[in-house]
Amino acid sequence: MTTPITEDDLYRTSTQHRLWTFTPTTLAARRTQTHTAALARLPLRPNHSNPQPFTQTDSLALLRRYTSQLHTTATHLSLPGPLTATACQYLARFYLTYSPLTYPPRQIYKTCLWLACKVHGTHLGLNDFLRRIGSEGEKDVVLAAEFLVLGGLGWVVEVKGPGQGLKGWLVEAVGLAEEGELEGLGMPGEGARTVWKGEGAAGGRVRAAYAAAKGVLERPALLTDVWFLFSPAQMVFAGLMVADGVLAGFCLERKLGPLDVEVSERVLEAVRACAEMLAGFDEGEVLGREGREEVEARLEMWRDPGTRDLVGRFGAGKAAGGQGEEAEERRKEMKKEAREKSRREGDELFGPGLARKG
Amino acid sequence: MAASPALDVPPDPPFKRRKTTPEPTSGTGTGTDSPDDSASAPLAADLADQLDSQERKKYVKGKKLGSGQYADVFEAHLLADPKKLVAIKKIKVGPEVQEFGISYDSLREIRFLQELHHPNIIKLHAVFSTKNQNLNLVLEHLPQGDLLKLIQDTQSISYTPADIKAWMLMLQRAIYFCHANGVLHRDIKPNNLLIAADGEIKLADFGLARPMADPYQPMTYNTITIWYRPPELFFQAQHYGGAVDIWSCGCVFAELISRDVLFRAWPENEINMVKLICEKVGTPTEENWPGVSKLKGYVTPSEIVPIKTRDDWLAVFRSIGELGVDLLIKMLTLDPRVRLTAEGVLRHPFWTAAPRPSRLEDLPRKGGGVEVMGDSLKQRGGELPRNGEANAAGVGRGDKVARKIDFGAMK
Ligand SMILES: Nc1ncnc2c1ncn2[C@@H]1O[C@H](COP(=O)(O)OP(=O)(O)O)[C@@H](O)[C@H]1O
Ligand SMILES: [Mg+2]
Repeated sequence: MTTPITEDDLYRTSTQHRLWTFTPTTLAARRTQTHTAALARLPLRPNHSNPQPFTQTDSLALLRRYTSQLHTTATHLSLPGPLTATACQYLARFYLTYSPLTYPPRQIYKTCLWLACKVHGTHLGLNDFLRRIGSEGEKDVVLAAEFLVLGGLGWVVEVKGPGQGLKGWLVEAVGLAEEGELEGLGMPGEGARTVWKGEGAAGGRVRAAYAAAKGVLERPALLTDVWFLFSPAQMVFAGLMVADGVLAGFCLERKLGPLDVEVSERVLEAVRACAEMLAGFDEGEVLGREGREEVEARLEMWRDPGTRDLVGRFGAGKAAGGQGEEAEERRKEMKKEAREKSRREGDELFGPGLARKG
Repeated sequence: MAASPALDVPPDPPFKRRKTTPEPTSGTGTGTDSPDDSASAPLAADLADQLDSQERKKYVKGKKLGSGQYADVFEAHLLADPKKLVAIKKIKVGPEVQEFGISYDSLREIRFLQELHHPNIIKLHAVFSTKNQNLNLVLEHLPQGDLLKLIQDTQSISYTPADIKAWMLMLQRAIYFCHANGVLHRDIKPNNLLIAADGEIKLADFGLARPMADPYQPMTYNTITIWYRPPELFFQAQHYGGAVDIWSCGCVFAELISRDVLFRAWPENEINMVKLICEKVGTPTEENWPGVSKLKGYVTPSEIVPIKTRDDWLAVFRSIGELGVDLLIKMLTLDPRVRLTAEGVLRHPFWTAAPRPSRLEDLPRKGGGVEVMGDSLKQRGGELPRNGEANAAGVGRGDKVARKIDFGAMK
């Protein structure tokens, strides 16, 4: 009756797997399509007076810079890792639907973080949030982009990451260490990111690998495309590969043991490819401030002028809950409904309504 | 205005169009792209808008099915196939939108319903927004009302232990699935259990749900409708798990049997709820719940009520049978660590013991929606809309059920 559910079955039905996972080819195609579509809407064309176009490479560089900024901000605010990942993935996914030419990331990234805070139930008020990110007075802008961002995400809000899987591995591996299963493993290879140098018991090795993998899966994972290309479980082992390849290889082999050879090969290949991307991430490639300003200046020249005024187009005034007659009407209606409802039901019939504050 | 190639994107590759369409002069001060235009026609870049309107145009909206505190729900059918019904839940836009934007509840509901695919969990087909930023959830159409309506209609609906077993089993499967996916529902109660056309129970309203394992933040204890809230939350536990949902399920189980709210504190407040739990289950103490006295909000009436015995429970709930009472006791165990887990509940012998859970088609149901009403008007006295004899104890309920028009659903 209670068929056990494996993590993989659950992942296969997830929106991340169904809607936001790509192959390198389909990912590149989607980016090109988005960029081309945005270009097609522009009133300007490159000519002799503005010979420097805004390219897809610019677009990727700028997004990487803003992802980095999101990561730094979230870390500075001590926001939890999964929340940070969600915000960064919102940004990444949004820009598979839209180009920076249409909506520059400067207008979008704070909304990504705000939405991630809400989805993760951080009960931070908006004013508080804005104050802490040093953006007082930007309330309208942040709110105006909410529907835009969610629309760009296809209304998919869940982002699954490797955090939980990595913790699961830690528990398992500590168990293996205690049972003596890890004795006799070779030393971590050249370039391994673990700080473990062979001292102490195997438990120490496991914990050191965990810490190193966690670091890799926090920042580098968000600044590369691995989230679009690999599953959380693959990311876990890829992170461990980078941390301590010998240990990771041993654990992965144990996990794959019961699978048939072809499947194991496929998984191994994916994990290796993911590990390569993670290890290859170079902090120096993230645009610095000057680089960003240069790209943004060009963007400013080219960007779609029709989408400039976010607040005017999507701002609170547009919502029925805003000011104006419709909102007033709506409020009256809500009051009346509430009155009628309590009369209809009598106060005894139902449990008291929960005050669902945000 | 909007004379833009973007109207053809996607699926047409835009560059094909560019050759034949004159370049728009927007942004050069002609005024044609002033922000005000956005309400009347999609602007150049509104790709998501186009997807939204594509989604929106798939449905033809009909009558209102009901409304709650946060939403109005309408019936709708597919334009392409009028026989395919859906429910469109339009989230009310209140003044609080000015304060923090889209509500936490809506985001949570979307988040969890998008990921959870199970026959006993309401299906979310799509989400779309309208131009003035109204949020619409396209849900599976559940025309038979909710479990609360059945429980309360003591006049015309009777049901059997086999029916209760069938309903509870569907609920428990939904909860097991949520928990296996790491999701706590946190608002299980009869009016959040909707009933499909075929009688299937669908767990709805994920506005208070949250993941189980976000250990990085204390959890709120101010959740779950008070009558269905477990003792650990009254004692302000900041970390809790699936056991909170199991307690609520236990309350629903008891309510189905006795057709009365199990812990109906009056006036409704925490103190009275704790008092009632002590009276009906027993006083939580260090003996029956090690560590309870260390919880921040631990207060109990000074007179200690010993834990109720099996016979005490049997005296009230005998009609569900000994095994049923055993399960109920284990779901309403004070100490959340001892309370059954969702899996434990499903492994209990109650489900496989006689009587077998009723088949869907034999479950009693309330009239609801246009179809049933139409049918009942066509019916003549004595005609049964469904096989009323299928359940011994259900004799005679079929006709009454069909005659009873659900006025609630017609408003
Ligand atoms: N899928 C559905 N099919 C039919 N009726 C529904 C459906 N969802 C909700 N309803 C009706 O609309 C009412 C309000 O919906 P609900 O989801 O409870 O809104 P709220 O979040 O405001 O409480 C319900 O009580 C029910 O009568
Ligand atoms: Mg409701």
